[in-house]
Amino acid sequence: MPAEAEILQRLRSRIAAIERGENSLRASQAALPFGVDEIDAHLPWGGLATGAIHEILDGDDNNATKHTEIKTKYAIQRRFGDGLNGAVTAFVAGLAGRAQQGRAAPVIWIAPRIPGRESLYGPGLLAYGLDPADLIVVRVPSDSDFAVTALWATEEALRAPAVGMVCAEIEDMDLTASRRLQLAAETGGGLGLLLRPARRDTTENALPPTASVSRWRISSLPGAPAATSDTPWLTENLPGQPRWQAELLRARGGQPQTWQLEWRDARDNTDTGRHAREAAGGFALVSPLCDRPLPKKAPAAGLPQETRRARAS
Amino acid sequence: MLAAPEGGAIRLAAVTLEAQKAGLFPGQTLADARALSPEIAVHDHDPGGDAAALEALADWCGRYTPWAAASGLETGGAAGLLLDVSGCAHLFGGEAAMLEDLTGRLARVGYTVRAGLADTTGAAWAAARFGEPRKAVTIIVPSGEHANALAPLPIAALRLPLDTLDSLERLGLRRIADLAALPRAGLARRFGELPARRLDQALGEINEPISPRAPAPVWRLRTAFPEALGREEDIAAAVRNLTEALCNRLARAERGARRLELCLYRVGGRVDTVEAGTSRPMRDPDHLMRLLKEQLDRLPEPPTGAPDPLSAAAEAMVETLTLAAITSEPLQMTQTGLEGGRDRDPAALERLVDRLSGRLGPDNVRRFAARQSHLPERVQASTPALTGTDPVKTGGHDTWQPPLPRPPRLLTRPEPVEAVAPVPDDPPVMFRWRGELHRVTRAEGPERIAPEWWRTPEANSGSTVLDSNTRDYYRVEDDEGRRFWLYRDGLYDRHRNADAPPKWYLHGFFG
Repeated sequence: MPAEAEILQRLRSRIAAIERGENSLRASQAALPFGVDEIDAHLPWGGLATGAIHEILDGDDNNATKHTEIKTKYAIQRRFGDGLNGAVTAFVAGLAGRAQQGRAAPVIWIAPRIPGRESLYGPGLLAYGLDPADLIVVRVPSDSDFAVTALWATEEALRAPAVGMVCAEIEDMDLTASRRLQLAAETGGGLGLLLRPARRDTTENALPPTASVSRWRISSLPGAPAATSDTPWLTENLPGQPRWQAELLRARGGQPQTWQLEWRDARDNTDTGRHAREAAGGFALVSPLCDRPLPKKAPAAGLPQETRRARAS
Repeated sequence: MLAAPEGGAIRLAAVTLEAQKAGLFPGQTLADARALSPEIAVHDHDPGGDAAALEALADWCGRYTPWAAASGLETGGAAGLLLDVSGCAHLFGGEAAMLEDLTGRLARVGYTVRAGLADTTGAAWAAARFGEPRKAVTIIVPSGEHANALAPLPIAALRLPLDTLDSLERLGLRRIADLAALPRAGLARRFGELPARRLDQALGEINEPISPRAPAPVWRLRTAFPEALGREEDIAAAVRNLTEALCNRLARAERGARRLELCLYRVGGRVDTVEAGTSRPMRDPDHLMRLLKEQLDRLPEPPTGAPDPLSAAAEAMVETLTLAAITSEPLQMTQTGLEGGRDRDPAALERLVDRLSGRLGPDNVRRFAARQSHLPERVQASTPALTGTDPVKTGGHDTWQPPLPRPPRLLTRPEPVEAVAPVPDDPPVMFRWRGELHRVTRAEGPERIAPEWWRTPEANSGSTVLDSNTRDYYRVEDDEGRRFWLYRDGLYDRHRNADAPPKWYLHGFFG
């Protein structure tokens, strides 16, 4: 019996290797972890698999998708990167910053060129650990050739060995195109995030098919309502740390799951440290709300408001 | 026949061969010409167009020699091309074959040409215009024979102005031989130094360099095909061979190319030029080839005057290719890693940047740099990645480091919003942006940012934000958890702007 189990195990791993392809097997040894144990343990690769592309959908409703008349007026602004996607940009910046550091290589961000609208903003990205000095922005003219050119650029970037992560804002992509990109990532060992808009309420089945290894939908959540005893008026009304709902809609070899994440600044807000990148924080799970007695002393060290108050007292 | 207004009358600028036979000549008034032969067809003279056409032809002659120039334009009328073919003729099977080829090709695209070849520029010029027999299309003066060949030619063959010619002829000096027999000093005293100089130039006693159209690059290779190439694959393969040969040469000289120029000489006489730039000196044929290929693939469909697609395709066939490294820089030999150094190749990123810049344009592949400023939109500058930025010059992390939270996305041009802010200096309770109402649930602020008064208004006008008011920024969150960066442009002032309160703008999106 143990021998049989061993054979079965070997066969399973061989099948998995065939399914993922020789290259992805090699590359999967180097996944990009979220730094959140629960997520990394849930994902079959211990993080975001490298040598693969992942789809990140923007779950925040764009105005344009709600109002038809505005949709026509701001047709071009339905594009990713110009609307209400601060949340998903911040989320991706957090991941890209980890890729920059973990893979010691620059990040390439491919976006449509909309004249007068270069919207990525270095100081804001730096807050999420993405060093703007090590970021190359590729602007693809948003003309009729946009899709072809953007796909080409993404493919080239994924094939290049010296790139930490490729973030591509490509709205329309069919299965063939995403398969091409996945292949390019497998050959070059690149890590690609495809950023696309999506309605919050669409189900996985309603979304177009994709060859990407995983698919996420990121939406913003209201900030942390910090429960405090001494200055409720101050923290109650302040936007706290950014929070996201991260839905893993599909993952090759894994199960869908939803997490609530927030960004924790490692550095004290009052201290403008020199080495911002090292001092940048990381993702953390939002503790689920439950009925429990309030702790006596300052709770949850790590929240900046708390730290600051603890210092002041 | 071309005519142009000159000195109050319309005069002929150029005439056809047939018209010449009918007794018309350049400089004649149009009225006289019409009287002589009323059936003439007259077109406007376009000197600029002529010059451009001649320059283009000189470019086209780059297939024979890098030293090609348009000549004679400044003296008017007798325009021509000068080619220094020293050491080039054998590539075409000798001087006669080369001239045959040159005149044949030009004749096929509709030019009436006559070519002269001699030891000196002056002799070649004279042979092409006055050489015997008159009917011959190509005249080759054998080496060393130019003095004899020149002797019987009229003095007009010496490239002299008309008035000089007149006075020389009045003295009975009709042939070059007559002039050559005179002592140079006396000649110069009576007619200025030009006739003597022209004579010496024609006889090869003074050197006369021709200045080529384009500076001849040192790193230049050329290949011609016995049969013109039409298929893209064939052309690409030929370019590939040239690229490899060029890289080999560069490697021997320990140099790398920064800018490449590939010229395709087409059967129809058109020359397509393709350029590629690299962010660091390169001599990797694979990489350079890929850069060139991307440009080649996107060459526009050639506009041809051909009547049908078949002959258009024939005209677009490529006969000759030249590849030049216009700019090259020293590049040391590098030791390659012993085993699969692919992942650690320092040039890999540059190669990617080159390719992206090549296809999308250098302007569209950018890097960010930080500037010393406290205006949010001025902090970030971007430069083309191809030029390469020096992180030391642009300031390190310190410059990027914002004192207060900044959004990861910033609108280049802030968009106006309708905000309801009941209490001055408080964040708005709701605002409408692009038609949608957002209820503010949480807010932080204000962060007051004053205009940079030390910058002059001229310099400020370059910035994307027009007004130079003090701005109060608020970080607000709406009921769906989306976060915005709003600012009020200007301060509330009960006395001054009670009727027109300051406007609100949306500037960025927070995570």
